[in-house]
Amino acid sequence: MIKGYLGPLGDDFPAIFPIALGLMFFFGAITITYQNYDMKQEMTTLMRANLALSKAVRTQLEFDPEFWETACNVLEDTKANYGVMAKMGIIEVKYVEDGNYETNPEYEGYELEEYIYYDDNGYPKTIEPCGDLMEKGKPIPKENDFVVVMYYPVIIKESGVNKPVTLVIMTWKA
Amino acid sequence: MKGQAVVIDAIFFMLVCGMAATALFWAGSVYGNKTYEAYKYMYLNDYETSMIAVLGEMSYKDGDTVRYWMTELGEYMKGTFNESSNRYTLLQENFQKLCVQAPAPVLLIVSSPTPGAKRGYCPFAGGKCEKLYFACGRLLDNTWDLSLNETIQNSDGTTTYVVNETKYPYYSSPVTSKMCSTLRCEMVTKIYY
Repeated sequence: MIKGYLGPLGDDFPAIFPIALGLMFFFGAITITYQNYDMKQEMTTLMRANLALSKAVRTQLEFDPEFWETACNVLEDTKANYGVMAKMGIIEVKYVEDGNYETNPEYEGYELEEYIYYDDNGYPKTIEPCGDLMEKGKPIPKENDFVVVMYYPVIIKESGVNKPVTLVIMTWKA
Repeated sequence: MKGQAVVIDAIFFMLVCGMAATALFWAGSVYGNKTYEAYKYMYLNDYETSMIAVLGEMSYKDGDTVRYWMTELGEYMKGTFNESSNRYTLLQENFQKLCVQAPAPVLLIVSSPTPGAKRGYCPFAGGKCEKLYFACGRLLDNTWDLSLNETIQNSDGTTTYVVNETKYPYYSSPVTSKMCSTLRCEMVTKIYY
């Protein structure tokens, strides 16, 4: 019997732990890298889709209620396998109620308000959002889904002037 | 002794695996971030280009008169009116209406190479170059805490700030040339994301 010699298997047994640890590091890093890459890939795919959809919709700078209907149809036709939602509005600065607006207004955030226009009879109307969240049976984003929201400046003609408004397009994977 | 050598080899193997794993993780992160950043810049570029296009079409009422923002900018640069005029107040107010719609604070920089410009004259040939700055509300907010080194005017014309453009990351559009009244205006938009 040789002193300190445990046998062919016993001698090599301690080496298993660092080998196993090394392999765990390696494959763990592959998994984390792939997950990180996959997540970024999904975000960039959604951003690309959103940009492409906005270009398809914004064939002109001026959006009026009639063109909005055309824009919504274009969105429906070109969205492919994405869920989309489009909305027109004006982003307004909201101030805290206690703020002294004259000397030191403190804003608490920016909110997208629905755009209100007046028809020929002087009645106020809004431009209704369009997209998958407005209809039953259409794909809606699930809890952990990425949703990309992008804002685009456009013009609405009202009372003889061209007003700046915001077109908001949301995209998610259907 | 044989067992010891194997353990040492195994530890070495673990270190190599660890290094390879770190390199893989780093490369994956860099690639993912670069692609994401590229699309973000694409969006910001699209936004800035659209914003200048909207400024070119935007109009508003001054009493019974319809004024176009770009034309009014040109008139201001020619010296037709100054900061105490209601026309200047409307010019700034209407810029604010547009720029608050942006996803991030915006700075618009305007200059003109046309000799008729009394303000914002920046000749091609060299010499003193003056620029006009239109800053969005968020850039002027105290909470933004900009430390500044160029002069800009607040929207109400009363407060002066300066902008250290290197302190905060921004995306800058390419220079866009537009006709503002009878002047040619060179415009650059910066979004501080």
